[in-house]
Amino acid sequence: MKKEDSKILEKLGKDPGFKVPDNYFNDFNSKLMESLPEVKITEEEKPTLWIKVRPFVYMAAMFAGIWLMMNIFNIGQKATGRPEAKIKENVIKNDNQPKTGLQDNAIMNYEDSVNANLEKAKSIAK
Amino acid sequence: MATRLKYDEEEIINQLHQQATCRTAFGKVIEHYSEQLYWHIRRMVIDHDDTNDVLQNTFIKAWTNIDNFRGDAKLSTWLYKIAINESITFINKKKVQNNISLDDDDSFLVNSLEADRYFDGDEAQIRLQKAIATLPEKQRLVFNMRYYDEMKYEEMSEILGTSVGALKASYHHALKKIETFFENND
Repeated sequence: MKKEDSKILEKLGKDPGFKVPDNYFNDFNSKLMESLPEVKITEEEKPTLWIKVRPFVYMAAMFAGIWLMMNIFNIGQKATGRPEAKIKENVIKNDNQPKTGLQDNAIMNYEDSVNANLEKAKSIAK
Repeated sequence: MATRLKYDEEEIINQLHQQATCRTAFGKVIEHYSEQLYWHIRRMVIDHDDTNDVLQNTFIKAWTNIDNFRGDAKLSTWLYKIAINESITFINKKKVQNNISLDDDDSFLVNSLEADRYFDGDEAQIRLQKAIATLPEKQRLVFNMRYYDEMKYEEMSEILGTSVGALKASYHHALKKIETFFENND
């Protein structure tokens, strides 16, 4: 008897006086089993190996795609980090300054001018 | 004496979800739970024959809905919920048959208790059953589950969907009402 129970209930006890026929539960169980209708069970399919590894394959493909895109578009690489980029930067810088050394080559077209500057920049870089 | 089959709930739930083994597994479920559910229903509907019908309906309902039981809750919790719903439905039907308002208490169930061949309690036990029958349905359930089944409040909370605090309060109120009933009927 728990301490929360009242004194009246303590006197009465926990047997309510209900009875069942002899062998009731065994008879009930067997009769009930005989009367159960047929049921259709939806069995869960066991996951195949492909279903188990699929998320990891998809994730790997996604990262590979991102890596490829970054390489194609040079994302994440500093413009000054590569020698060619440094040279081009210098060419543009020099191109905007007064062309003291190139005054004599007035007949050179723009492309030639750039190439000349490129050569010059390469020598500076060395 | 019949030997009890070994009952491993996890294994049985797995078997219940396979067409080939579900019937045998459900047989084990019936064997394991029929007695405790019987007493739970009996304390609600009082009469043995009515209890037999409600218990049968409970298991048939569980069996026909076994495909919907995914094992998220305990099997006992699920079966108790079905048994409680079936008991309440049965009591309400009986009230309608006897022209009793659904708002009235369930005292009418105890009226024929003395004549019941499957009852051998004394006068005090009859008075206790009358006192319990005057309680509102939820308080009756809480009282029976706590007092007779000695069920933990946490388990009751899962079955009845009520907080532990509210269940404790409900049990306390039920005890007070039963004491008052005895004081007024001395």
